[in-house]
Amino acid sequence: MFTESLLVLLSVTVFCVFLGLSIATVGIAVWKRRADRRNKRALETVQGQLFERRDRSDVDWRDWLTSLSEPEQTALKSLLQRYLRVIEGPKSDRYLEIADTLALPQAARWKASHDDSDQLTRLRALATLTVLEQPVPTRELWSHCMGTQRTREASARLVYECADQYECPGVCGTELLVWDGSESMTIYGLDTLVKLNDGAGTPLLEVARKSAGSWSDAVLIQVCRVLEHIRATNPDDASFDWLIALFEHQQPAVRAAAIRALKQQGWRTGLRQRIDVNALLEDDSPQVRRATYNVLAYWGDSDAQSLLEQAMISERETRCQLAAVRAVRSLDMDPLKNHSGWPVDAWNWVRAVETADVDTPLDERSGLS
Amino acid sequence: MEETPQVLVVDDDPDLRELLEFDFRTNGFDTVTVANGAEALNYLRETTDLPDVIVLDLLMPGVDGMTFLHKRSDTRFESIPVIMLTVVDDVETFRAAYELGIDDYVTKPFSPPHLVTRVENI
Repeated sequence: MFTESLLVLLSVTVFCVFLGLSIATVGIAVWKRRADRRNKRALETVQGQLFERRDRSDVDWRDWLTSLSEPEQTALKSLLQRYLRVIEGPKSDRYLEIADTLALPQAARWKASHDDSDQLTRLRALATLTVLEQPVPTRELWSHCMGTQRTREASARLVYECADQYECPGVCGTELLVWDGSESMTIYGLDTLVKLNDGAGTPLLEVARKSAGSWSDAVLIQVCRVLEHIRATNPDDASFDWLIALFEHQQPAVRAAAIRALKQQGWRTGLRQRIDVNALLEDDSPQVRRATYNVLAYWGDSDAQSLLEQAMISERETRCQLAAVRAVRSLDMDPLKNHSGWPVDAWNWVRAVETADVDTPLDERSGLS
Repeated sequence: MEETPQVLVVDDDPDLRELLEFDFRTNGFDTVTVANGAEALNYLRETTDLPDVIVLDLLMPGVDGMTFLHKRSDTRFESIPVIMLTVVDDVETFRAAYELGIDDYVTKPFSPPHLVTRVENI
């Protein structure tokens, strides 16, 4: 009797809990749907009103903004940020005026540098400030926005976008990005690093000269990759000393990245003389030798040609030999084919690949039908 | 009476579509907007009133800008001028896009009046 009552009580309890949860779920779904509809309506209303007022010169933004409901103001803030990401020029100036009237920069600056902000809030605030092109003093960035790699990258982007309002934007942004050199950068961070360093100056070389010794392998490889692609025209040859020191690094991937980073510096004869290319061509790692062949092919002068010609014959690793032959072929050289070590197979293979009509589907190529 | 020129805007960003639609309309263009290359191809196949210019985003989910350019190459709308609107700022991409028949490009962030002028002059 007692057990039966207990079972009934248990069943009723489970049913009540289930019913309660179901009602709560339906309630939340209905509330959310209504909120979504309300936000959508607010967005449509505010978008129409914004377009209608945007090109008029007699609009008092403050009057208009006070006439908007709270959901409409929220929709407007989000809309402004989305537009400011994709447009520029006089139209974007109008949007910046509205953002200013809404006190968006002040709110974002407060969130970015307030002690209680979590990292996501800080990240969003930095993104907003970047879109609005509103700088944050360097000391505030260093004291509040260094918590994660993403906030450091967002800070660096802000510095890049507001470059004319910082004293040394290149150095400041680059230092924010590499920071202590322990964590790899995201694509966004790498893109910012390229933007900050492409062209005259290249502060990355100076930052690396001071700190590269403490950077992780991953960061060293990323930095080398950036140097491989940017134009570093001004710095003197001594700026590359730290890079030459990397030829002794224990990781082949770092040694290969270091030689690739010098690809665009072949015209610096003083620097070229300090690079022991023969040692790189004799490196135990095929990865390093392949990278060296590619760099020599890019340099392409008579010294590079003769080194490549020798390497093509002396190379014993088949994939490396193919890389050497490709490098020689890319220079349109006419090497001595009667040499006893002439790599007949590699040479014929590379030529065959070059002459194959790779854009034509296999079944349409001559001789295959 | 002169016919109103029509622009087809292909972009996956709904806010940007609204913005461009407004800007083109206020500058005297009839505007149709679609969210990706597949919708653009469907529209072009079904419409009797072909657009005079296509403003095409490059990076879109599904059929992106490059695929759209490939797919339109053997159809009756191959000759419609295309202006590519893109965040990509890379010579190789522009070269490939020109080979596929674009007439001009504008990189984001862009100035809407500038884009309208390009469309007017094409």
